[in-house]
This record gives sequence, C-alpha cells and structure tokens, in this order.
Amino acid sequence: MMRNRSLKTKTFLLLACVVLIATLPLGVYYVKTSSLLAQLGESEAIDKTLTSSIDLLHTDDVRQDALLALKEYRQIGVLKKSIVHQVVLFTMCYIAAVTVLSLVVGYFFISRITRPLRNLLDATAMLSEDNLQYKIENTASGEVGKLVDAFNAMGEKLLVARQEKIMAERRATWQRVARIIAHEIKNPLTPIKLSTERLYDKYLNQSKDLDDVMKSTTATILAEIDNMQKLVDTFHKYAKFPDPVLKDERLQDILVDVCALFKDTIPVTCSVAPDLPAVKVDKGQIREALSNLLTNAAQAIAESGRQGSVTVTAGLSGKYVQITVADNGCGISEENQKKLFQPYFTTKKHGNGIGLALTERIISLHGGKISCESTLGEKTAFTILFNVKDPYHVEDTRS
Amino acid sequence: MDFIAGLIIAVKSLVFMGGYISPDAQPVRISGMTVHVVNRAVSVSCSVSNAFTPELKKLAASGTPILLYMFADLKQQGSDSVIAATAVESRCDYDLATRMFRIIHSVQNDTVYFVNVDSALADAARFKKIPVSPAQNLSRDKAYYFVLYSVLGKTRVEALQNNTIDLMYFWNYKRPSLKTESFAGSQFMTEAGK
Repeated sequence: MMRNRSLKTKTFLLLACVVLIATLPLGVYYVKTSSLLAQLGESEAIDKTLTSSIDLLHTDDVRQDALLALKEYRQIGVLKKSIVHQVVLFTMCYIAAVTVLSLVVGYFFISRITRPLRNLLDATAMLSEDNLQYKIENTASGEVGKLVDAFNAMGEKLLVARQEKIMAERRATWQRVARIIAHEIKNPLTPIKLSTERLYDKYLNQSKDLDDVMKSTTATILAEIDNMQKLVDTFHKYAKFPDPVLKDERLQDILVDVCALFKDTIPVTCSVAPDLPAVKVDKGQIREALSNLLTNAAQAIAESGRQGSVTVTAGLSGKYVQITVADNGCGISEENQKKLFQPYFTTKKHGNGIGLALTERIISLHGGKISCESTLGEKTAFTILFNVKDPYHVEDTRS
Repeated sequence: MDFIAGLIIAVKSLVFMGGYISPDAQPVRISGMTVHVVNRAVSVSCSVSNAFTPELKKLAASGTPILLYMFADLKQQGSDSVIAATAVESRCDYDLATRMFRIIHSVQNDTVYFVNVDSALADAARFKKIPVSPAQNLSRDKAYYFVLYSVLGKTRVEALQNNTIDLMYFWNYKRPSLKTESFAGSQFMTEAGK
C-alpha cells in the first residue's frame, strides 16, 4: 500500500507518526495527572472533621488557623475543576499546536527536500527520452545538491560520449566504405591490368592473333569498367536517395507483383489480409525495399544449401500494417544482426552492404520501422511496420 | 502545594481563554425588572437569575466574598445617548465561624444576615430600587429606555496564595444584559408629581 506513495507522502506520514508518538504520551500524562488532581477537596469527611473541630477550639489563633484551613480546603474543592479543565485545555491546545506546527514546518522542509528529487526524476525521464542536453537547475544544498551536480555532470559526459561514439561510428563507416571501394576497385583492376599487358605484349611482338586478343581483352576491360560503373552507381544511389513521392497504394498489389518476380528463383508464398487499408507510400521505393528483402532471403536459402522457401505475409496489427518476409535459410548471427542495417556492412563475398541499408532507409523515409529476428542456421524474419493513422480502403477499380 | 501553585499560575494565564461552565448550568439572565419613581428619582428593580452557579455557590460557602454588580444605563430613544448611569454592588460573605451569610447591598447600604444559603444568595442577586436619574432630568415629550447588565467582581482566594481571581470565570465571561422597551418621559413626570 505504501509502495506506490511518493517519497514526500511517506516522509510526511513518518513525521506525523513521530510527532504523534512524541506528543500523545504527554497528553495522556497530563490527563491522568488532571484526573488525580480532581480528587482534591472532594472529601466530605475531611470537610466535616474540619468543621466540627472548629467548634472544639477555643484559642482564637488556633481557631483562626482552622477556619482558614477549612476555607482553603473548600476553595480548592471549588477551583480544582477549573484548574483541571484549564490544564486539560492547555494540554490539548499545546499538543494540537505543536502537532500542526511540526507538520506544517515538516511539510515545508519535506517539500524542499523532495523538490530536487522530483526534478531529478523528471530529468531522468528526459534523459531516457534521449534528451541529453537537459540540465537541472540546482537549488538544493548538501547531499541532494551534490546529487544534482553529479547528475548534470553525468548528462554532460553522456553527451560527450554520444558525440564521440557518433564520430567513431562515422570514422568506422568511412573506413569500411574505403575498404569496400578499394576492394571493389581492386578486383576489376587486375583483369584490366593483365588484359592491357597482354595486349601490349602481343602488339610489340606483332603477334598473329593480335586481332583476336584485341577483341577479347577489350571486351574484358569494358566488362570490368561496366562493373565499376555499376558499383559507382550503387554508392551514388544510396548517397543521393530521392525523397519518396507518397500516394495511397494497395500494399497487396505491390506484394503480389514483387513475389511474382521471384517465383522462378525460389518458392515464395504470399499471404495478404483482404481488408488491408491503403497506405501512403512510394510504390517504386517499396518495391525496391521488398525486392532487396526477397533477394536477401533467396541468397540466405542458397547459402544454407537446403531446399528452403520464403513466406511473405501482410496484415493489420492495431494501428500498423505489418509486412513480414520470412525465410528458412542460413540465418544471421546475433552480432551481425546489430550491424545489419549499417551501410556497407556485408558478410557476402560479392556484396556491397547497400541492400539492407537502403531498405531500412526507404522504410524510415516512409515513417515506418523495420526489425529483424533470426536464428543462426535456421531462419530469419524481417518485419516492416507502417503506421496507418486513418486507415481506409482504396476503392477497387478493377473489374 | 508548590505543584498546585504552579498550576494556578498556569491557570491564571489561561483564565482569559474561557471559563468552566458545567453542561447542565442554566443561563444567567436579568429578570423581574420593574421601573418606578422613588423619591422623585427614576429607579429600577431587578434580579439576576441563576447568578449563583453550583460552583459559585460552593465558593460562597467556603467563605470567599462574592461580589455582584448591577449597571443601569438610562438612554434616550433615537439618539441612544446615555442620560444617566449608575452601578450598585451586592456582596455575599459567609462566616465560617457563625455559619451565617451576610449580604450587603450598596444601594440601601444595609446588611442582612441569613442562615439558609439559598435565601442568602437569592437576596444577593436581587437589586431593589436602584436610583438611576432624577425624574426632572427627563423630558416629557421624549422616549427613554434602560439597559441593564450585571457582572461578577474579582475576589481574593487564600488557597491561591492570596491571588485574586475574576469571578466572571464562572459565567464564562458573559455578562447578562437586558434592554427594556421604550417609555415616554411624561410617564415619570406624572409619577413624580411634576
């Protein structure tokens, strides 16, 4: 029951308990003492004894003393009630005043203590939402003040660490890009060089088969130049990817078309929910993204060496349209899953690491999300989610 | 005794906070008010009902002097200005030796002795023929009214190291008062034979 209460409430309740524990015994003691006091001057026997003894006294001084004693005894008998009443009243007022004052002062101090903690809590929430630049204004002193300072310092360090990480990732990406480009350029350079050397040699020797060699080497050189051109085009395409032109499209049509392209290569099962709402997408880009996923699936199945298949499903999941491309190919290791969508990351001999990176980019440009679940050596499933704010069906114009 | 004395001091400081009134106490009020002309002076007679609460009665029986005052203001209707004002005292003493009550009325300046406590206190609470103003001071064509109120005095208490206590405590510091209906000045002119 107390678990859900705030620190402020808990501390306040603790204070209230302490105040009550401290003041209640005092109140009980006063009330008890007052009740004992109430018995004073109540004895009729004493009154009678004093009264009758006066008659027996004949000495004036002693008689006067006895009269005074009787008078005082009776006065106490009368005034004791008011005394008791006032003592109890005073005690109750005192306890009430002390309790209220303690709680008011306590509440003030508790608020002062918990305010920085609440700010800290808010700041932690901001931090968890990736707002690393958020700073808490430090109005507290002592341990809480130091905690706030430490938190602000931690935020700054996290920001610096984040920037350093971004820089390191960027550096690593560039290194990877440079390595891939170097590798990709080096590969065609060797046949080009060999072909050129062979052609030069044949030319110097005025070989009889110069014409034939000229034809074959030129063809090799041109083919390698084409490969290099394609490579450059791919990198260029990723670097300067155009913004999608969004239109209401039926995803089921796109999926069916893309699946049809791969039917000759691998067994593909396409299952699309009939009531799928229209989604604003760039048809060409989505086709490309899905093609990349299916290509990847086909390569994974080929790499596994098994007779595999690809299953493409699409349906509505809450406010999302969910597309899943699953295969039972070679799977992806956990470590590689983390780098899957990084540009120029590849595990294939002839891959350039652009396909999945491009797919992820297309999906994010459409405001969607892509994720991967895979078991190495068994299966892989890519899931795409498109947020459908106002789902509606495109009118079927087909006859 | 020192403990009690300490408590008394606390009580004395607290006494202004409120008095002790037993739950069954009847409200103190002024009753039986009559207006008449005595020796060409406009006079009032009245009683203070329930003046002696049980506690006050016990205090009186202890021999502590009880002082009861009655204030009478004669005011002119309309302007509410005080034409005349007077205060009288009624003192009640109990003699423990003779076991008799002595009541002294300042108006008549007489002393009456009582054996019976109820008779004594009833007499102490009765104020007779309090002269307020000479009748000739009143105007025939103007209207007047009386405002009466009563208070208890302070008294010395031997049990409280001879300190004085305000007896109004027993009335919870509320003084009973009475405002009469207005009457014509001519009414007293006739009675005074003017």
